[in-house]
Amino acid sequence: MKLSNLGYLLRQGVKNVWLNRLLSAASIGVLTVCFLLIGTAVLFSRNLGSFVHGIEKKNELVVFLEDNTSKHVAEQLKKIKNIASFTFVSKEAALKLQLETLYEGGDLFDELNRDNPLPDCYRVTLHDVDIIKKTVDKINKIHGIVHVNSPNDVAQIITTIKNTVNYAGIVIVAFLLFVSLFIVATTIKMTIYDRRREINIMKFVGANNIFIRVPFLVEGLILGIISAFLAYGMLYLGYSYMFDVLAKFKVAVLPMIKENMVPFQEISAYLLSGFLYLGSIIGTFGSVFFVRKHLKV
Amino acid sequence: MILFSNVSKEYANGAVALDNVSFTVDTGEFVFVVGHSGAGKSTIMKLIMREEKATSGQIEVNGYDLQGIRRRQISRYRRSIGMVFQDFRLINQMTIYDNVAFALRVTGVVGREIRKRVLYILDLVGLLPKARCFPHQVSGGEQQRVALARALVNNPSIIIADEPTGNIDPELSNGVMELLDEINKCGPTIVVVSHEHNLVKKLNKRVINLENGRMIADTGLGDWFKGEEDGKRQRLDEE
Repeated sequence: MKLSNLGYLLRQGVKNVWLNRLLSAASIGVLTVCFLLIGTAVLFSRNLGSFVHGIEKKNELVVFLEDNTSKHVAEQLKKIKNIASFTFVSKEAALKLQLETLYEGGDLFDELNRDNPLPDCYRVTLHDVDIIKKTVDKINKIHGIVHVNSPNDVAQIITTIKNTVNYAGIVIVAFLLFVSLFIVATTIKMTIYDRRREINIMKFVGANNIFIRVPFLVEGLILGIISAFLAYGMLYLGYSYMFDVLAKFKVAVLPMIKENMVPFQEISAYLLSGFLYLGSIIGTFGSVFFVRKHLKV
Repeated sequence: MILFSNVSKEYANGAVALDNVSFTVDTGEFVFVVGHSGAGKSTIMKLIMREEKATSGQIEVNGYDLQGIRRRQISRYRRSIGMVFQDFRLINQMTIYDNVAFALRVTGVVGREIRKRVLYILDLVGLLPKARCFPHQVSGGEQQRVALARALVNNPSIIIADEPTGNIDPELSNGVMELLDEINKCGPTIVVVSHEHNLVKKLNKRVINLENGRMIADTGLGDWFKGEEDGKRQRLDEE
């Protein structure tokens, strides 16, 4: 094929996207939705991982005490080598902090001030997080301890959730990919079926298979790329919006989620390249594969 | 040159479309292929275009053995033939200019040469002012002239026209046939499938007559029609 012909065929591919704009829009729509679903699954999984990691990273324990045992416990805590420091949080201070996080203003929770259900506690920081389990065991042996809140407990629960979500995610993404491929293939098939007459005419005037395929290939590639950018843009906007919404709420756990949320910029390159790669493959191979059927004239 | 030697074509459903048909068309000839519906006219066209392969016999067109031709060679072979269809078969998304230019592009002609030849040929068929129109913006007769221009633009040695006047007015039909006659005078061989006896009669060319897949006559128009009247029709079937 001559180079000048290649230029013509590329231009023709670009032109066809516009000329067949209804079916092009359908293909782009289907592909974009597929990418959005896959992208959402990836973002969810990455954030859960980051959240677990964030909790694990925190080398702070909360030691809840029975009433009037704070002095005794403090003495015992000093004896544990892995403890770097500890600060006392009285039940009154703990309640105040909780109320501030849960509710701004008003006297809805005034009743609680009279009958405070929260225990006193120590916030304990450690030297070495790796031996946290050993340290927690030692603390638990101290008389007057009600419960030790270890980040490991939370991390373990979330890790279990994360693993379940990950496995389920793999199955869901695989299923979505299969469904997407099927839908995209059907859309491309319809597009090409709609244009089989055009292919037939090209064959009769002596066009060889490459000459017919290249514009379809370019068309498929363009549709794939447009879908990839659209899905990327939508995910970016959606994710940023979620970031803003989370910042507005003052619920205890949300700052922690926000703190550990994976910044979009961190995975944007992977997402975009993944979408572009998938889009190009699905677009081009889909087109070339389904054109083949109509070339046997 | 076109050579059909003992050609038969049986479709997968068992229908026999052609039965032992033999004829030759020499370079520069103008031949009509006539017959009723189901006589085998379209099958002859399909075999010449190598859209179908004969079940038995030998077909040779422009030096290509169509029974043994490789799939890859078919596109090259088709470029040596200009085809005109009853339904015009123009690409609706392309302008008239692009429809004609496309036939040149597939052969590797580029740039200025395309422009020069397309404009010349559109002028020849009287459609130069409508070069930028799309097929649906012109009449049926004009669409057929576009199809003719596309068939001509590669300077093919053979032009095959399948019912070229089937979808246009009788007045325009005469114009298309006259144009084909003019083209024939410049050299190319012309094979026209038609069921319009008046047009066939008017042009006074060689006629191949088919009936139920068999060739029942192959003669000059004058002799054939006279023959029908005199009961001397030249029979070329097995009898």
